[in-house]
Amino acid sequence: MIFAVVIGLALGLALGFGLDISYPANYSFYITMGLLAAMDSIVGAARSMMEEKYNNLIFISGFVTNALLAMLLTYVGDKLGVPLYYAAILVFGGRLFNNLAVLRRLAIERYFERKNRKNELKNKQNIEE
Amino acid sequence: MKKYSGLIVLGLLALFIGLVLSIQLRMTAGSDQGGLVPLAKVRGYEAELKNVKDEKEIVVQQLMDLEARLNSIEGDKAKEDGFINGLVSDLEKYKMSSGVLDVQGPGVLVTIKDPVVTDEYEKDFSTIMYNYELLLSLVNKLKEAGAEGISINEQRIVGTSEVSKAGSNVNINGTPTAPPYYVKAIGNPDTLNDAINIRSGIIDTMKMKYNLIVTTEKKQNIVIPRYTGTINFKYAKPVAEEKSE
Repeated sequence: MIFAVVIGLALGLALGFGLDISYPANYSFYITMGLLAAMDSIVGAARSMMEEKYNNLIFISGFVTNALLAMLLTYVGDKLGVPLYYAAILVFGGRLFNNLAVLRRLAIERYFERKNRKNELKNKQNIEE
Repeated sequence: MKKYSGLIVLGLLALFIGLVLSIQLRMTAGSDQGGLVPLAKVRGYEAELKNVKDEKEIVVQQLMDLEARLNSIEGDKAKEDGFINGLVSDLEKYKMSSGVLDVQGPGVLVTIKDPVVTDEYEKDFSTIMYNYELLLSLVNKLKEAGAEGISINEQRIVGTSEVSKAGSNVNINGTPTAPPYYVKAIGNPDTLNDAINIRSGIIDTMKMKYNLIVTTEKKQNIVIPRYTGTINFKYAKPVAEEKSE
């Protein structure tokens, strides 16, 4: 899982810096909102994979709708002159931290579980000896 | 395959993130991006501008104080000595002619406004700024009619003054200016007024050809500010007088 993400990131960075791709400057803010949604989705997916609840359809649809809503909020806010995109930033940002916290706890739990198993094995061996 | 499909999607999304990140970095590395500029950045620039402006105010004030002191010293010395008195009055005259003194007197005030536009696409377009040579022409005509001091939007026109378009502004004395333009000139009000209001003259041209809204008023007393820049001669030197044999 981590492997896939790292490879994807590296490829993306290489493509972005290597090829001369660019989009109009006035779309940059919307794209950045999409980027935030993507980050949120990735961390969410990592969490659900850890919990073994991962579902492809949920993941993809979630990402698409989130990104679209974020961009729409940005656009409407821009037209109204009210920074509505704060909502998207706060929600996605908050979720990022939440999911990261859950991931951390899961990882730590697993680590301890493994340690315990090893200790139990050692104990069994000792008893047998 | 089902297990891997998730990883593939994840990888693709990561690729997207990397792509956007790198493109953004590349785009923002150069100049300031257009579109939505972060508010924090704008605030920062505003604060910076304000600081610099305040600094400039203080420095100009200091200059004024120092000049006042110099003047008082000159005055004192002039009272003591007739020769110095002559020098001081000469100096005063040259200062007036070079535009480093505030001057006042009768003259005309010309106000130039852009035509009223109804088309929203033309709101950002300024006719007078785009055709800034009209200002030059006007200044030229005023000089011809014997104006003794001219200023555009409080920028005194001196020997080194330029009127040129720089980006979206017209710079005068290196300072960005914007419409409406107020052109002040000191001289004989009637002469000045008639010289520029002559039929098919400069003001007629502005009104007829460019639809600008121009008004001229004769004033009994008009104050024209001094030139606040510095003039350094790097290349020009006075010609040494040849010794007569």
